[in-house]
Amino acid sequence: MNAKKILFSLTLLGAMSASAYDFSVTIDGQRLYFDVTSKSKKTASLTFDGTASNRKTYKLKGTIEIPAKIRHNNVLYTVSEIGPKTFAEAKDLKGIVIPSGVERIGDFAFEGCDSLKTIVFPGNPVTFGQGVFFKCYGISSVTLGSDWKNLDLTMFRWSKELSSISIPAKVEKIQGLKKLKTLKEILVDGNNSHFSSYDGVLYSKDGKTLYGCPRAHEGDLRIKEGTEKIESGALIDCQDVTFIDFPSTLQSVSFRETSEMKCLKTILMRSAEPVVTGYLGNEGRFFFVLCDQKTEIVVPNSSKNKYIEKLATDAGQYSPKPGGVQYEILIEQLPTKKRIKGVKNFDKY
Amino acid sequence: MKRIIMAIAVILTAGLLETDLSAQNNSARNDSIANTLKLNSLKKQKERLQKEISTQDAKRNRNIPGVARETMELMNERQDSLCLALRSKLVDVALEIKELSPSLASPTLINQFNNLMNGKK
Repeated sequence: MNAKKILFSLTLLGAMSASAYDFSVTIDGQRLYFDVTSKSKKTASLTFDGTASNRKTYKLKGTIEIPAKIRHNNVLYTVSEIGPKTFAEAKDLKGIVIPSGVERIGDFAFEGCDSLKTIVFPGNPVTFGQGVFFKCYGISSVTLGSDWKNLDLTMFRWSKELSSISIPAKVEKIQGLKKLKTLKEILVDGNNSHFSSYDGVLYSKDGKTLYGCPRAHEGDLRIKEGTEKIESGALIDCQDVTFIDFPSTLQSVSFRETSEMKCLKTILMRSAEPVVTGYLGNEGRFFFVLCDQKTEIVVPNSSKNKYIEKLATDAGQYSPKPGGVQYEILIEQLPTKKRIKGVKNFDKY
Repeated sequence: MKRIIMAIAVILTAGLLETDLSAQNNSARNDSIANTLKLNSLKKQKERLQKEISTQDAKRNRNIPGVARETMELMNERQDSLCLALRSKLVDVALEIKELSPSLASPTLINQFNNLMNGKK
């Protein structure tokens, strides 16, 4: 075999055994590693130290502000991506500020960062890989992107600390609200044209539909006057609610919404007409599935008889809508007539 | 006489060089074989993981009649974590494959290498 062939073999082998990063820089005493992703577009991706088979965990401490641009060999690169597994298992990482221009965060980029508390996202939309915040149990503060239109909150579902989240003005679609077990309140930017919030609960912009109550909402749940419909499942897993105030405008709510409220003591029904909450065949009935039959249902005194007349008293197969999915309801899950209390006004409540 | 001695010296040097180059060649070939073996092993690992992920994914987000919603949710959460842990391993394997695969070399370089190996100019 001649020298030329040997030279090409060695060159090829050299190419085959490249390390994970192209260059590294030290910023504020912290070493960061980068890959050049496009020489023509001058973009770089943040990546990990070492090789894929011998990945070295970032020894980062505190909060890291990722630079938007980075200079290497006299070329100014835009940091456009955080690569897969970049910060995986960085146990001392407490906060991360992701700059404008980062458009993608790769698979499992922050997996296992269980000290990570604060995340600031860029204003521009970001594409997320799978499991980006897998096993990030400590996330407590998230600043979402100002230009984001779609929001999937399921990416934070491992957090045990996230109690509040603010929805930016341009968000049009929200998924995964009910995946956040510790969320107590949801706030919406006043300029958002699709959503609003009241008392930490998510509504449509016009306030007529209640979309979702955060799961860890506790104590009183006062539903906004003007609300006509409560979306199916909006309240069902809010187990720490003790009191629900349904407005006089309410027209549609399912009997199942209270079925897991173990601490529920009082339900206020301001509507003069009993709201049909379930169907036995085609017959509309008023009731809520209760964990405790001692739960009191407070209604306008003038409507008390109507409520009692409409009350479901028989066990059976009930559906939230006529012809809909049926649920077996036992007698001990139904409110009793003696628990319907009439009041002249609701001032006391 | 001088010419003969010089010729012998050149021949000996060429022979030594050939031996040295031959040793390097063997080393390069051995590295190449080791990489190929490693790559094959990783590809098999990837296939196994993909198969396992497919099996476990089918068990995600189930709704078993008669099981309480809370219980179902706990089961689905565990399944979710299991599936993601597998996918995380798959990403690790994929990154290793990417690092080892010859696609990092430019197509031009590969082409020229292949031409040399086939004895073409």
